Amino acid sequence: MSLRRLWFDTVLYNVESLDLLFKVVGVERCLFGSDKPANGSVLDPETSRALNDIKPLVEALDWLTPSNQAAVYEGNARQLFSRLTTTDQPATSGTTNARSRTLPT
Amino acid sequence: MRGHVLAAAALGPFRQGKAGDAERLQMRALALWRKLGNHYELARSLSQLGNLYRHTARSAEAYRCFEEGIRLSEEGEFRLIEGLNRIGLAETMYDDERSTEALVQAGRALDGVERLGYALGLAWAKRAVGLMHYELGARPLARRLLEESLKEARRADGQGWWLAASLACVAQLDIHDHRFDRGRTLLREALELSITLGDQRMIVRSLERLAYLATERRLFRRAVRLVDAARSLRTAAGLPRVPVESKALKRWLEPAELSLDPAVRELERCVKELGFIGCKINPDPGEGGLQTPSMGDEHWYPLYEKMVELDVPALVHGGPFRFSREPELGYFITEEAVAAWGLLRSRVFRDFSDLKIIIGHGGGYVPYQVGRGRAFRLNERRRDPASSCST
Repeated sequence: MSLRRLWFDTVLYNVESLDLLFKVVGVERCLFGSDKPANGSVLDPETSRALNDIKPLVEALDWLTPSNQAAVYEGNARQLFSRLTTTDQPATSGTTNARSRTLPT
Repeated sequence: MRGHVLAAAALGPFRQGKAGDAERLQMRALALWRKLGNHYELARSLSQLGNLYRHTARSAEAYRCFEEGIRLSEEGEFRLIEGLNRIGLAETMYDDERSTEALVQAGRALDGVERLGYALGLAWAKRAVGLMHYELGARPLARRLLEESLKEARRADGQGWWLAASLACVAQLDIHDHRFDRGRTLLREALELSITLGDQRMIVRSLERLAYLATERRLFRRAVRLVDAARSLRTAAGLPRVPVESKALKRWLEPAELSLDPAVRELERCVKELGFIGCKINPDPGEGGLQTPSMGDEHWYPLYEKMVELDVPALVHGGPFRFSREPELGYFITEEAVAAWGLLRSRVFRDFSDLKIIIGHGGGYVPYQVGRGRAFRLNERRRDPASSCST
């Protein structure tokens, strides 16, 4: 049975491991996760960022396209969690999502 | 003469698990010996009745029987009968967690019986004392006593009952020491003997010990079948559900107790009533104790069925771990990877094509070790071309 039958979160705190995960199991099987707040919330003394601040790591992988990123951040999860009922539309890069449009301005 | 018949007749129902009938017969024998003033037989009947009470969790009555039996034996210098009563007393104390007093009593009994050199008495005494030492952690001493007890029982026991009991004890020891083959051979011999003797209690206990053995060998389905068989026999024979003397049995039954029913009910409640859209699975509710089946095992199927029915995904995420060697960092990751391999090497995704499983922490070590996983699967397919695994 292929690995791609499973889904994976992105709770890895270094860019090399994330890179390997995306390449081995496929971007389309990965769901953004940070494990925040937990042990990984400790600040990295070199960067002063929390170790479980995962989004900059994803963004550091320059081979990921904007639609790859959107899939990891939101699209894959929406596909997987079919019971999630919301009026929100999947966010795409550069557009505003439905929730923010309904907020008072 | 009538007393002998009554006392002997009481053993039958006792061994078939009919404690009430055994008690009535034994009481009649006791009354007869009292009337006749035969203190030797009276003390012997008291030890039998005391054991009957002990096995049915009536320790106050058991103490009374054994204490009177000891007093009468001391007066009449019936050394063997004194030993039998003392061991009964020691075992009752042990059940009541009075271990120190129990060992003193048992030691005195063993000394007395050893001086007599009577093999059957020795088998009994050594078995009782060996078991206590074993449970109290003195394993080498326990092993020596129990092996000797088995030898004495083989030498002496024409009926086979004590032999069966000793076989079961040594087998238990072997299982704990991971000498599984010898343990199984001894248990099978004990089971055959018990069947020949028609001793329901011993049959049930042999089955339970075989179940325990299967658990230790991680043959969970076999263990559950054996536990079920033992339970139905227990019910049919009217035996107490968990015998007084076996605290360990509860642990043995754990695999059968790892029921998913409560989880399945809770999942349904959370999704239907509280609006949950997913769930989390701890892949090792045995918390490192080795008794949890792989996530590829049918043990998990009731949960998978409910997940598919409700259309909710599960995140596989490690849970508590009962050992301190590595509580969280490596354990979580390892359990999650073990769960993933267990699923991928099984029929689960064929049987549940819509099942949605997320492996936490980036899949544990799975992506890093994918080459090894592939080699394993190719080898499996080479050995068994019909294997359900593909790469």
